[in-house]
Amino acid sequence: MKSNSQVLKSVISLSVFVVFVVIFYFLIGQDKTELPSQLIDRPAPVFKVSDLLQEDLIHTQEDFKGKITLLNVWASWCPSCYSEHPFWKNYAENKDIVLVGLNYRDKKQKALKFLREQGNYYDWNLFDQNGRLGIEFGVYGAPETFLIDPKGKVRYRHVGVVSPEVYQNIFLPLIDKIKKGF
Amino acid sequence: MHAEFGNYLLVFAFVISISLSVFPLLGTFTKQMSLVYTAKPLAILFFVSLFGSFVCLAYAFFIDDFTIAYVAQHSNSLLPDRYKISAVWGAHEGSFLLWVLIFSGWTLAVALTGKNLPKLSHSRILSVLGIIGCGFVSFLLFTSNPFERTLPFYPVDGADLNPLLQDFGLIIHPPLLYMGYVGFAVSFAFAITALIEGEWNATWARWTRPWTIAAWSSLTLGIMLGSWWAYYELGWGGWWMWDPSENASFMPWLSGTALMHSLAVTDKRNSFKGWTLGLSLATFSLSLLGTFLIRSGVLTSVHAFANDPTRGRFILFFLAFVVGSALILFLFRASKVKTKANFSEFSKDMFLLLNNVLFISATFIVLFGTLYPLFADAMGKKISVGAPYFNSIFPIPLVAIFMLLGVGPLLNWKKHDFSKLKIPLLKIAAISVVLSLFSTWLLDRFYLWVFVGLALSLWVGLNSFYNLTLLTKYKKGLSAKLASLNRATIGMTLAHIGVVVLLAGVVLTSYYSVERDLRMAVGESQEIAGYNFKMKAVENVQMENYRATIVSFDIYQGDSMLLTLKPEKRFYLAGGQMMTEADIDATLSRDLYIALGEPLDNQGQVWSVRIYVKAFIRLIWLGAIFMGFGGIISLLDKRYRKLQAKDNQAKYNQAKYNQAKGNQSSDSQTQPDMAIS
Repeated sequence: MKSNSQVLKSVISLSVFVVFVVIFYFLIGQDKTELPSQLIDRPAPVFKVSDLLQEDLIHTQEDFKGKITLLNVWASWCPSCYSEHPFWKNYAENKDIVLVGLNYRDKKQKALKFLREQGNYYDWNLFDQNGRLGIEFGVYGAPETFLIDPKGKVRYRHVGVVSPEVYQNIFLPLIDKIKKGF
Repeated sequence: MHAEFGNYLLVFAFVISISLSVFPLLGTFTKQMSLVYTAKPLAILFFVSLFGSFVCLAYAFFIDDFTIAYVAQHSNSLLPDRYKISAVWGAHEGSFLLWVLIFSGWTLAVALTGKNLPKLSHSRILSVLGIIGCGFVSFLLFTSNPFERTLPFYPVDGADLNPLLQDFGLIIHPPLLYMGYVGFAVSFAFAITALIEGEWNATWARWTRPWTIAAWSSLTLGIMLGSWWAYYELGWGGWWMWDPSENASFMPWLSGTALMHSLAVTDKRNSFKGWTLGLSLATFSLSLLGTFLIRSGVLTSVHAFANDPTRGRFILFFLAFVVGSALILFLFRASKVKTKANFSEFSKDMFLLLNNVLFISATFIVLFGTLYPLFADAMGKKISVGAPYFNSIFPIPLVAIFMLLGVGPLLNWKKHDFSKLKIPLLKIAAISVVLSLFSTWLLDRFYLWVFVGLALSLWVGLNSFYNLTLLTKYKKGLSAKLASLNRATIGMTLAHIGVVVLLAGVVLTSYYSVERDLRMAVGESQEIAGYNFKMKAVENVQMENYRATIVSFDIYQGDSMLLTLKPEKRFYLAGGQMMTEADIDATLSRDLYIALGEPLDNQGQVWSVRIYVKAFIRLIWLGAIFMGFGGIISLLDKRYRKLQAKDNQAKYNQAKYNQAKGNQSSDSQTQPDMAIS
């Protein structure tokens, strides 16, 4: 004989379990590309990193100021970066924005080879060999792209390939908004 | 050839796992002993076929067979051989093959060591493992086949293994971690079988205990290796960052710790049966949840594998099936095995109950922090729950656990006379507080958490030694005292000392470490945390296969020179790679860590330099190693082996009893007439 409380307990446990499974089901395959970031609407982290092509040229967070910047995290060991890279040629045509590459945990020679073979569409590149800057930005892996406004604030973070659809539907509206002074 | 052969073996393993999940189980209900006896050979075949399949994949890596997509994506002809082998588990498909292989290894171990179990129960346990194995193998075969070819257009060379993974720590971290994760499947299978049979007692618990401790020890060491690797390879100087995938392994660890302690009560006192069964089921369910979170792409993290919704759905259905049926079985059958517990509020039983409650709360804290962002996300809100949440809440159950841990091992089962313990405990508490105050005073700055942490460490540590003196008080001489301790006690004490060492390391390193990013030129010196770092010289050397710039730093403490650290920048001629070689001087009390950034002038005399002085960070891993080895030592305890002979008789009687009972009540299955070997 089961008491009522036991039946109740069973019903509750099973319903909680089912709710969990259903929520998980809807989470699968969802677009996980927009990530919450501690940095959103906060100034980009303070850093001092040398240029990939010109070692004695040091960049800081001040370099983001005055223009809208797309900061793209890439690496030669990252397969998705190879498929993403050709799109940057198109985005580079947009003269309102500055394209900055963040070469993440890479080896210099391989990174240079990547740019030589795939084309260099970046206005400049940060060389983050040991991933220190990546940690400051909270980078999970390559590719990732940050949108930084003229005041040097991070406005958006995208994980994964910035396909033309993503660029069109997410980045362009945000860029427009920033241009209007928001 | 090898690819096809490996694939066939995988298919074969799939068929075997289906047979293993169906035939022996069927046999136990239909009284066909010929079917019951298939369990062991099937389990052996299951392992052998998966092992063969794994060897095929490793061979493909070894001979650079880039016609296999997985090899082409994760290896390279120039990769050193040892990394070619570890590249086998460098990404999703191969690592899951390793996962299944390790799972089949556990199944094999259960099959080979089960002589003393009643034949029917043994076969049922193997069948339950077969069902789980079937889920794993079909996941591998249908969604993540590592043997897929790139034919006809295969690449000339591979894309190379992520350089981060080309590291010794990462060769052994995954196998150990997986051993822990899937090892909990064994206690899960024991629990399911017990629920099916409606019988769960101390003998069963004693049988489950070594398996649980083995899985727990592997998981402990696996997590420790991951933390150590992150420290020296990722270079951010941390040892734990509440990353979702770390949490995914931490949840089964916490609940496994609760299970281990609850099993002790069931073993010794034949109580807490509901708890123990529930925890056995929960721990493996949390392992599966972790697998789901990491491999479905639901979480984004350092460990995240490619986001493939088919895989996510597959694991979710499997998880729903396994956890759902376990839950239903538990809800309907657990009342059968429950007994009224009988103990006073001041007894070992009570303290272990509190241990369980606290560990379960800790598990929930981590579970909540890991899932809440996901669920909020499902509601359309993006948030991230980070270290601040965990750091502010997690210490609460922890402090309570440590306070109890000091007392628990000293107590008797069932009832303890507190009056005898009061004075020694008060003395130990006073000594702990005074010593902790003294040490924080020595460390020149007072932090409340450091004081609390050290006081708790001393409290538990001193009580552990006090416990040892109590246990050996009738023996004369140190060697006689040590010889009189059984391995389970030694292992337990070592593991508890390990927790203490780890706690001390955590509080000390959190509050007394110093990190600096500097611009330094030759001849300059910097004072950091009482050490004087003098950049002495820059030299360029030509080695056999690389050119290196070595910057030497002399490190002084006061006026005396301690040592020289030589971090390097290497340029490998063959691959054209630049590598940064940090130099670490590790001692128990501090790590001195110097890494070179970039040269900041053309002569290479000015560099950006990162210097860490990490206080007591080694204690963290040392503590974890103590815990892992404590577990292994207690596994070797005689009573697990000696009592098996006795168990055999007990099992026989119990099976007879079951049989008699089974014939009476209609709802429990009828037991066949059987010959127990």
